[in-house]
Amino acid sequence: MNIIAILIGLSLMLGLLFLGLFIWNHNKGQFSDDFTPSLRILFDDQPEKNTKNHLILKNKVL
Amino acid sequence: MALTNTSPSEKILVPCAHCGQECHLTGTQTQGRSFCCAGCSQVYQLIHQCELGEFYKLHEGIAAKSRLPSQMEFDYLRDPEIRRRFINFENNSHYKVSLFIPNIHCAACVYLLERLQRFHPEIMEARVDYLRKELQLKVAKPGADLPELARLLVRIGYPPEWQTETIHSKQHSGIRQKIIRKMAIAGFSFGNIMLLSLPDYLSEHGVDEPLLNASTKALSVFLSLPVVMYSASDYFTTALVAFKKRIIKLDIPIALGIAVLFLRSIYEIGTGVGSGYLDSLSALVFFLLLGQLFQEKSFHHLHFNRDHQSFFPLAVLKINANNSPQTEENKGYENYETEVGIHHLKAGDQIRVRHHEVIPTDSLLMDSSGLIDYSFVTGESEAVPCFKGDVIYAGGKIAGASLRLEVIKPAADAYLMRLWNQHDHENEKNEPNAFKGTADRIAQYFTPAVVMIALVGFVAWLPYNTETAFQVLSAVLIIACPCALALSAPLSLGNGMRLLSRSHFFVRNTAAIDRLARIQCLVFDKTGTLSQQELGPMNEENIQWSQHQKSLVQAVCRNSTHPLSKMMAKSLPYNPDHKIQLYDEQEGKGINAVVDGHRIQIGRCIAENLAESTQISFMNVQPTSSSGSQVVVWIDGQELGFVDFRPIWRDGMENSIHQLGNHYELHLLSGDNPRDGERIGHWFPPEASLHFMQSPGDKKQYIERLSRCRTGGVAMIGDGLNDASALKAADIGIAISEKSGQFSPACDAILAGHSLNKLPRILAFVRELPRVLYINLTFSVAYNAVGLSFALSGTLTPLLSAIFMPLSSLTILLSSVFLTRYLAHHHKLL
Repeated sequence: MNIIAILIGLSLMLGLLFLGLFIWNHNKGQFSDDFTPSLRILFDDQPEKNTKNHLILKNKVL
Repeated sequence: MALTNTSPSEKILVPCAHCGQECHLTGTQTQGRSFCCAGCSQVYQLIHQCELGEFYKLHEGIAAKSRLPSQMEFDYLRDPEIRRRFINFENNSHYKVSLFIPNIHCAACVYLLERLQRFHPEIMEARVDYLRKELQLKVAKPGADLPELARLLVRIGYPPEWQTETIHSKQHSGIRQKIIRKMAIAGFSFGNIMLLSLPDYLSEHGVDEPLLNASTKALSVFLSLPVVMYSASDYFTTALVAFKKRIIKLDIPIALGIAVLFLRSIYEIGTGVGSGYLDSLSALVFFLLLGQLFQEKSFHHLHFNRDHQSFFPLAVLKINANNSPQTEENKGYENYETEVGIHHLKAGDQIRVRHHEVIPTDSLLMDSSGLIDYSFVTGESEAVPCFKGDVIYAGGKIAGASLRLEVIKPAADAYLMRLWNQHDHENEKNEPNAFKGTADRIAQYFTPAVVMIALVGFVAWLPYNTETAFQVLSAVLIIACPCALALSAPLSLGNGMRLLSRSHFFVRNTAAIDRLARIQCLVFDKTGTLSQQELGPMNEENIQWSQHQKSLVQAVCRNSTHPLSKMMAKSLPYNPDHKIQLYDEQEGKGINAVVDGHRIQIGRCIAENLAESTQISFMNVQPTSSSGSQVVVWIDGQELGFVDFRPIWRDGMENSIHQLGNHYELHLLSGDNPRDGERIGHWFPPEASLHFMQSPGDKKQYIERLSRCRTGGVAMIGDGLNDASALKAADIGIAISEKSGQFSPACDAILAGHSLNKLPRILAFVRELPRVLYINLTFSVAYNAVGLSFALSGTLTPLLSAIFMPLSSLTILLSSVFLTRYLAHHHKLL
């Protein structure tokens, strides 16, 4: 029966992991906008991020 | 014809490659494409330069028109006080800003705005929330500041709207986020405790191994702690506050139920008498939170919080006198103009307000004459003339040429601002004894009854058996926990809110629906509410003229910017051959012109003295035009008669008002003169009171008087800023809106203009909504009675209670949702 104790512990860990992931993503705003992603899927290219290091390489348009 | 010297190819119209507007094939051309204007051509090149050509594949030929902003435009956004309103986050390396962009309307907009970093290297990230029409930018520092971003957005055709704060929606989603977090934890504990209690469900004694048994029990208690301490914490805090204030609220018996459930479970587990009800406890909290989540439903695209301040501009052109310090840019100009935030305006400052701009504060007119449209303030649809030295009140809109004004009061002290702000203060004072919802009113009787029963049972048992006495006490408190009420109220009201939105009736929150159900008295505004905002077609009944005379008058009218002239010019026949020899327009009085030798005079009724100075003042409403929207026409000194423009009444209003009259006390408050009163007077029942020539202040006072002597409350139905203070003063303010993007003053509900004739059905539905609550309450009392009898007879096994309690919550959930749906169907709202 000891195996049950281990299994309970493992399942609880797994559950807590998912709970943590859910709350983390929820705080990040993963679920706050449920419409715009359906539009983003239409675009062929992905928007790249400007990072501070790239600023010099890019030529300013405006 | 005028266009004789143009080549035939110029007449071929092609859509502009950027905005899709029709333009000449040989007009502005770039890269073999035709454009309607230089601005479009520039944006087109800019977008291609940034390798974003896919935009044009996505947007199907209609892009927003762009505008080239001037170098200095939006510089007022540097003002730290204004800037703070838009910046969400700021540190040494970057800042985040969120902007409301009403132009976002399709996938292409999202495509372009989310690639904004290609236009400007200092923008690090751009993200669009389509439904909220919000753009979030992460910008490197030191780099592009707000004015530069604003100019870029205006240039590509997405001007941000500065008046609307995006922060409101964020606060709202904050409550929602909190509920979801609490629900996640309650749901997690609910599932896991049930899993751990599985052995208890299957056999009476749980697991045979004592160690395992004890540890699973301990784990259950451990898991239920966050549910009680965190997920259910709101019930405890509100119950405590209510208890301190000696108010009975629904939260008190709920908090009591949860606390007793938890303590009794601990006691049972601790002493080994039973296995407790921790699973039911977490399920209960989970379902209660689910109900709350339902209640927090919000409409992303609507702004209920827009107050008068969002109607006013953030900045205004200030004319700097020549004695102010000169810089490089203004050298050589005697007076130069800069944009300053309106909170910086002082008495004595001179400002310039352009066509269609809103006057930010009470001021004196410096130019010789001007036209001001006070429709937002007074509801009067016609522009008002004013002359040098007249006092002009904040809230008016300039019609026609730009005006030079001298500020007499800082913006915050303007007459209307004071009126509105004063009301805010009164509201805050009234908050403590605010409205009690239906559920809270039931709880008022319910809670003492439950506590009495529990105490009587306890006292009755105490002499015989102390343990049984405590058991009875806790059992009654647990079973009688009014979770049915707590669940059913938010669910039925929240679902009702959702269903009403399909009839274009958007309610701010569930409490507003609850209040609306008990309204006794409806107050209507006339202009813009019962009638449409635009005036109807020209009525020629009272005039006799020939086609030739009509075209002569048209030739005169098309030169004027007066709204009535414009409408006449639109409805009269056009003849380009007429030559105007003389043209003299007296703003707001009329036009004196000579066309092809004929002397044409159009204007107000002759009885009105043209020289008389018209003092505009809406404090003691002097209707600016006793003749309303009539225009008298003279040709060669002979009066032909007059044309007039009547308001268009909304469809089916007569019928709707008849129906509403059966249930409600009706009132009409109109800023207009009683001329149209005769026409709509018979719509209203004879006992209804109709009032005309009401200023915003009168309307507000009337509503306040009315709501003091009517117990059920007063609903005001109106539109525009002129009703704003009345809408606020009423128990329920319903704003009428033509389209969802339009400005609507602070209110409790927004109703689309074309749905106004559905109002009787909407109100009938709202009146019957509390029935759903009563049905569910009866149902759960029966349910609990059965449960109580099980509990008292000692036959309530852990399995039975584990099924019983969540099942009762679930049935209440489903019945609330389906009953509201049925009601909506019954009133033909779906």
